[in-house]
Amino acid sequence: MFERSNPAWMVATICLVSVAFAGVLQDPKWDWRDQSNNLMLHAKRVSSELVSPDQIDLTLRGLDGDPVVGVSKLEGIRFSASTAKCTVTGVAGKDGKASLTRAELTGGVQFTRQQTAPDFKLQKMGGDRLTYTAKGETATAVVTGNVSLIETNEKGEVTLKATGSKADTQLNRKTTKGAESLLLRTAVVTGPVAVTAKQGSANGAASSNTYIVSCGKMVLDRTRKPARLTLTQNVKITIRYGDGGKNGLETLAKVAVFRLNDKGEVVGVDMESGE
Amino acid sequence: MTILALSLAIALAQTPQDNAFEIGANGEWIARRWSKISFDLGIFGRTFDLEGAPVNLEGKPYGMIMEGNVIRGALQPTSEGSYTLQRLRQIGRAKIDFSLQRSFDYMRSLAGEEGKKIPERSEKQMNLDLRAPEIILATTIAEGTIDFPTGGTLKSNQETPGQFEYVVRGPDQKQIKQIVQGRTITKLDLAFKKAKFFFDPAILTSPSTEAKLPIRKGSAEGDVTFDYEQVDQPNTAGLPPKKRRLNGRADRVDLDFTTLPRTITFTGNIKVDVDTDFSKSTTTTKEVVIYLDSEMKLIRFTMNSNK
Repeated sequence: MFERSNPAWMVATICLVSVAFAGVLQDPKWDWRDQSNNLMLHAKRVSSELVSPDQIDLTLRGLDGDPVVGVSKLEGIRFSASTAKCTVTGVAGKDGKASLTRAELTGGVQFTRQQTAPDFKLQKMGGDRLTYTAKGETATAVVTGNVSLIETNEKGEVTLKATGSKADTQLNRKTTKGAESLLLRTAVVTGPVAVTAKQGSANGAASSNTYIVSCGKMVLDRTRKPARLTLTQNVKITIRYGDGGKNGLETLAKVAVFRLNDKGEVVGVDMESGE
Repeated sequence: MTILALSLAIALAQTPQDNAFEIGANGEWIARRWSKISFDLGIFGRTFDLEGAPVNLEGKPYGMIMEGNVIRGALQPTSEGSYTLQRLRQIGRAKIDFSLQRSFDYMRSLAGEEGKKIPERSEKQMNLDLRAPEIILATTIAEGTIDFPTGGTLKSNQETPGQFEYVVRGPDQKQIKQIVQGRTITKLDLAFKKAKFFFDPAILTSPSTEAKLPIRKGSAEGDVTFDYEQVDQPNTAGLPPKKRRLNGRADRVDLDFTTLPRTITFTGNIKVDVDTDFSKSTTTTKEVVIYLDSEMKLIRFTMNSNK
């Protein structure tokens, strides 16, 4: 932690920390947090470089069973991976809040955003490799290898789950209500892609029906109203009725567009058969 | 074994070309042979817009299959968690086909799946086939309407068990009256330029085992052609079926099935051919009224040339 009232001391400390961690340390535990306890990083081994008084580049490594962990309270973000290359900026800011500007995560990557009650939602991204770049109110994340994207509603029910081999995503960094409270602003997942999407319901009544989709490409776009989930390339759709209930008939489509509400549930379907 | 055979039949009936998409709460409404689908979960139910050449929409619990190049409609949720048809507009090669047997087969398959008692197969059958360039259907709690703004056809077909009296020769060659078991098949075909029929909305809210024509009343006009036929088909071999048929044309027809006897009233420039066991004629007249019982069997008919 750095003293906000003494910038010179703060910079000096950063330098010391930087020097101390210039090589790979054998310290079994390394924790770092910014002055406001917003950004926290945990690793087994670390090397760092003070790029400027306001920016630190860190190379972090974990060990089996003890991965690199990063937490940004402000954005509700938590990640874990075997290794991480992180760029942290805002270290010398007056508010003491540092932010994760860029991260290259590899090995069993889990990237989650969790909101607190009463509007609890948990969103997860996973893959072999994830490159995160923050830019203003949004961020981009490119995930490759065994990609999974999961969004849940306030009840903890999975509203959207997509798996594939690559995902290009744009993320909401603000945690406001409505559609922006969901992590994914846009996502392009290529695959083969498997998607499950929870069906919303008429009259606000609970629906436990789920669309199960396999296709070659999925595009999520929450920049439009209503949000759209576009599925293309050998689209196969089946409805599962109820929790663990029976599956309906399989439907083939050239293109299927699911319209989503602010909870991320399917409230409309447009399809073309291509025949 | 019966359930297995039924499941196999359903599976075989579902060809890949059908490309079914389920839009009901539990798969009870299915679109087939579609090229485009748009389907919304709204505040008051589900709306859909289907296209095909033609597209096919089945309401399984109600034994109802609809077709059209375009089918637009709305499904309304019920307290049981299923959906009933609230409104429907079919444009281009429009067709509605009700089948009591189809509804019954669905109920039997559902009962089998849910481990409930499988209902006995009904001895009665009822089919209603409506075709037109355009059909508009709307329902309220009390009443349903089917409009044919640009003409169309109605074909109904009912089959019920019955007893018939035959005069046959006994072993001593004397004529005796014999009551034999059999089936009565009644058909009513109408073609018209414009029509509006009122029907019992229960046909869309609760699956029925009654072979009751859902139409309550209605009228059709504009070069109406009609063909009513009743065939009493005895089960006993060697006995000929009894046929009663009235067919012809009129300017207008009014159906009233709300009271018994049911009436079908033809008016204006009527030409009617009568072929029954008690009368044969070809007549031009001004009014013909056919009186039917609840199973659409002919009770009597009247002709009036003075109106």
